[in-house]
Amino acid sequence: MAVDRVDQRQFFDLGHQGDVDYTQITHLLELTPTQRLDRHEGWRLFVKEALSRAALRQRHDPALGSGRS
Amino acid sequence: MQHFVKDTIRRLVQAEVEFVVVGGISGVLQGASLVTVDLDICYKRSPANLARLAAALAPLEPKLRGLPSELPAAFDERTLHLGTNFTLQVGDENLDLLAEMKAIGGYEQIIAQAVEVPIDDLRVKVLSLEQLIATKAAVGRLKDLAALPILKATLELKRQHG
Repeated sequence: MAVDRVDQRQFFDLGHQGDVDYTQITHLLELTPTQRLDRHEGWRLFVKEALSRAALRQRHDPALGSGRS
Repeated sequence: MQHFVKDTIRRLVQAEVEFVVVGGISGVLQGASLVTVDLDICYKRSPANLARLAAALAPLEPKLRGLPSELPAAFDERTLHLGTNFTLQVGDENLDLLAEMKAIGGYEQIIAQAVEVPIDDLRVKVLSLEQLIATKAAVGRLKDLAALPILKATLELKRQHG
């Protein structure tokens, strides 16, 4: 029985295609620079924490991230 | 610090340091959907400004990043006179002080095209998106190249919307 091919992009496309989410930038342009900076600070702390945890894990297990794990 | 980026900028403005916010934060302030961990500034290398910059940062006890902690490497006005670009650690935060940026030059070239933005009650000079794109393209690290489509799209949308 032939099965219709499903275009999986519909499941993963979150409203933009390619490298840039124009919708998000448009939203950010509606904010003031102070609002943009305050919003960014939450993300900055999140990424900083994630990088810190990743570095800690790699110290405990050097094989992580080396391609040997 | 409660809000590292904002608190550091406020500290520099209040100390009358002549500087421009550069790097990813300059893109964020102009609407780019980037996330960056560090704060980068470009500073004027006049003797008076070096003194103001050193005095403003002294209470934060900045250290040169990556040096072994046992080395007695003080960061002060004399250090600023001896170098140009510095990568500092302030507590657990990263602050980069740049006198020159690849493809766009030093403070004088950057301030000439800088954009002024309000942050709370402050007026702060930030690197223009055009210059940010030029320097990131020239530096060419993976993370710089990855940011280019977002920065170009931000510039395009800003031009469309005036």
